[in-house]
Amino acid sequence: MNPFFQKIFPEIKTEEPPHNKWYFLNLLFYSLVLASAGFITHVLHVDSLERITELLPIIITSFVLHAIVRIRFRPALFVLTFVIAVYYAFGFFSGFILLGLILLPFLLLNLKISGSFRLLLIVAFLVTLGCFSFGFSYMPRLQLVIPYAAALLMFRSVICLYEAKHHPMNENFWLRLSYFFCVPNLAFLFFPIVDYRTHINSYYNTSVNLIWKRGSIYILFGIAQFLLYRIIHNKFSISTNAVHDAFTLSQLIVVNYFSLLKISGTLTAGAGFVCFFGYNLPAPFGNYFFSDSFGDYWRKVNIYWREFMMKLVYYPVYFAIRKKTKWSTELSIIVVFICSIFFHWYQKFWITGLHTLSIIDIIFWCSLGALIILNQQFDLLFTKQKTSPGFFKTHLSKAAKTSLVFLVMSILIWLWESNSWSEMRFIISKSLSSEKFIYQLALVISTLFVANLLFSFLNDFANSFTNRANTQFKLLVAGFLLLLFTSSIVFLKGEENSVYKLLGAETKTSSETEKDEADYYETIFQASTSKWQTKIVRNNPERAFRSVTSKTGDLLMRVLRPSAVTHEDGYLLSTNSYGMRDKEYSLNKSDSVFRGMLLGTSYEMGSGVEDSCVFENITERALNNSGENIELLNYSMGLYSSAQHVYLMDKKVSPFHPDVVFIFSHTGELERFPNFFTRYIRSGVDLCYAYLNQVKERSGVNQTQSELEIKERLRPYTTEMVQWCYDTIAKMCKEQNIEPIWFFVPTTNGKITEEAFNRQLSMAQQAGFICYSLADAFKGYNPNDIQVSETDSHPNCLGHHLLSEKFSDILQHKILKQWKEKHSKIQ
Amino acid sequence: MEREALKDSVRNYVSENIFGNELPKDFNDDTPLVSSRLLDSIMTLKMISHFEDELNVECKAHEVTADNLDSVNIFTAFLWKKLGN
Repeated sequence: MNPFFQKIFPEIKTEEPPHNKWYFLNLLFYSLVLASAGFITHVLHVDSLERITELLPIIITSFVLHAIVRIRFRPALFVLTFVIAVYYAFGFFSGFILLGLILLPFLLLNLKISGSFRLLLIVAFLVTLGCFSFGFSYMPRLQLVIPYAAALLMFRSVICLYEAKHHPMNENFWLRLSYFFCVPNLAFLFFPIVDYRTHINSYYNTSVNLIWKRGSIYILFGIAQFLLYRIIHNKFSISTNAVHDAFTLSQLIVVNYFSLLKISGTLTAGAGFVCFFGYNLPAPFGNYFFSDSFGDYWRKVNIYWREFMMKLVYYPVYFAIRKKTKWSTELSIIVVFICSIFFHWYQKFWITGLHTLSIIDIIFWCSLGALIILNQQFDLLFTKQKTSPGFFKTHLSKAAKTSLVFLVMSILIWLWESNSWSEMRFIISKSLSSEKFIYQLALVISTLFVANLLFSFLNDFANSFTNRANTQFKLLVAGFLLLLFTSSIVFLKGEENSVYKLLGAETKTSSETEKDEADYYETIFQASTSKWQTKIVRNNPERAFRSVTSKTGDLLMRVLRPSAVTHEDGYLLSTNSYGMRDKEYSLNKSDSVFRGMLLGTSYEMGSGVEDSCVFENITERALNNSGENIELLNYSMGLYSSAQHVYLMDKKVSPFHPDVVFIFSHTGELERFPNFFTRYIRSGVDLCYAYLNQVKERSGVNQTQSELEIKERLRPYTTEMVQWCYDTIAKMCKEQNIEPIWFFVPTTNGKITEEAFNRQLSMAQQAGFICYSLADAFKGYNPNDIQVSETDSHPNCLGHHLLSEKFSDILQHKILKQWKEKHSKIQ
Repeated sequence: MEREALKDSVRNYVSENIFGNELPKDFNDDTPLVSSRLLDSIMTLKMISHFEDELNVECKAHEVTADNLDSVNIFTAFLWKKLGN
């Protein structure tokens, strides 16, 4: 070979596989496995594998080429595949930025400089990147790729810093580069933390067929876990509202615990794709559901994470203190779990841009650490007894221990994914109120114990087979063929069938829909909106919205600041001197002017669009241009409810002497009202009105209760409270000779039933409002075309224009007409 | 200490402390201990401690890797190097 090529592509010390017909048959078989896996994930919408499925044509082509060329060229081909995938996913400019972001720390890590200077440069690089992620500057192209770069860099750079400190990193250049330019990781923001040494040492460390087989097992097993999670979730998940006894409580906790299958499935499949390129990676997860000690659980759940923590934290701390204290092991474990809190926060920050750390995270990791230390102490005492128990005693003891670990871990994971400690306490207290609680709990625990005993026997039986791995592989292939068959049916019959409903779409319970904050992993999974997009925290309309608002101590809680302006997110949001998102008006109005006051929420305020795009603004301009003389004053504000409109009506409206007051009701108003009222209770604001205080007293809600408990206690009073708000607003209007007008405004993505609409309508009519509906304003439009973005369902400019068309029509031909008639009679 | 004696000592330790004096039939001096997860972190540290005391050598945190501990042969080579050979 040309010496130049020899220098660029140095020899890799591993045996070249013989390129015979079996080799090519295997290559064909595993290419088909990859393609079939892509087909299944595409048809059944395995969302966490969505991006890798899109990259599959590139990956399969590269896999085939990779298998044909000599081993010395393969790491370079792997890097090239990454570059192609980056340009495919992000285009030239953003792709170029992403490659630069990854290449720069790689070069820094490979510079021949002192360890501390290298550390300083890497930290400076990460801090700079962190500042952009944090949102110090709005650079969407850069911010789009930061989570993808972070997914590749956040742990790899830490591991490489450690490696570079202790060992010369003089391995093959392309192998080193391929550690950072890892194609499968590009498609997974949440990816196993592959160790640098494992990456290098596992490269073709055994026969290529075994590595491909391992990769296939990981991918198939990963998909199977994901679909199992989906079946459990779709079939058995229940809403927190439905918990009323030990059975439903156990169902809630256990189904929640099985959500770990989604995480282990994603990480396992992710590792599988890497194996197809010759990296013989170990399994990322063990059989953690059947761990018989907390230490065993920690060893089996996310093994790569544990090894990362052991290497970077546990061993260094242990070796540093082992001669100073006899508690070195325990102290090292404590430090590991404190660092786990930090690294989870670190991971969340890089992937989502969020920098919040909840007390629940701290409690979870501290509890797990404490359990492992306690377990270790227990084992130390226990192992002193050298007597060997009999066959049945061994299985009984294993089943008891496994059940205990399962029970404690499921509760701990439930705590971690819950909104709050008080919410858990409320749910438990609801189920405790059941008379049969103890019996039901005993039955649940006994069932768990029997299931574990059965598993223990079966596991023993399975271990007696000499080639267990082969049997497992055959079972997996059989399951895979079944899945392929199922997917084909779904593909041919479409998505309107029971198989798809079970496997293909994740249904949400009402409590999941209402949940304000996603749990740790859900937040990470949701960080990417779809395909190669990113939720840029900086571009969150709520942030811009908050910058022009200020908190108040009264029932309004938050108001728009007077004369505030922001262009923060690329659109103008400004307020007048009264704190309305509107132009300036004088307090007094001339008799010839029709003045309407809008009391609405985020839709009417125009969340996510320019001032000029708000439908109130469009309507006012359009009607005045057509010869009318009207003023529409917009006191709408995001997160306001009817109760706050009562307060606005009471305190702010009368000085403006409007002719009419418009209040707006939206799809699901009655369902959402308890959420608003819960905010008032939890914030401890003065409810101002005797009636609202009475409801507070009657429902028994108070500030110390969980959000869930307050909402549940308030739910029976919802209709009554909304009716009171309507009655009060209408009464205040009548007292001030103002016409109260009620408008129904549909949400962009929600469908209102006739029954729900009629209920809202009759409440408004009963209060004395003149009622109109804009229900068909969005008719014939796809929600995606009229929403601000995929993650922000507020109407965009088109949505506001559609609303304005209907609103103008009713305003001009009905309301204004009546006003003019009434006005001329008075004159 | 001779290298073979050191290897015997390592093998005996593994046999006694990992397999309870019953070495599996397919066990040999190249059988993976760390990468196959036969040896957990506590066992690893205990083994290192034992040989540190016995041979009067000192190991460092970054040396606790499969590269140095993965089998009887690998660990023997590591200790042999530690002894200054």
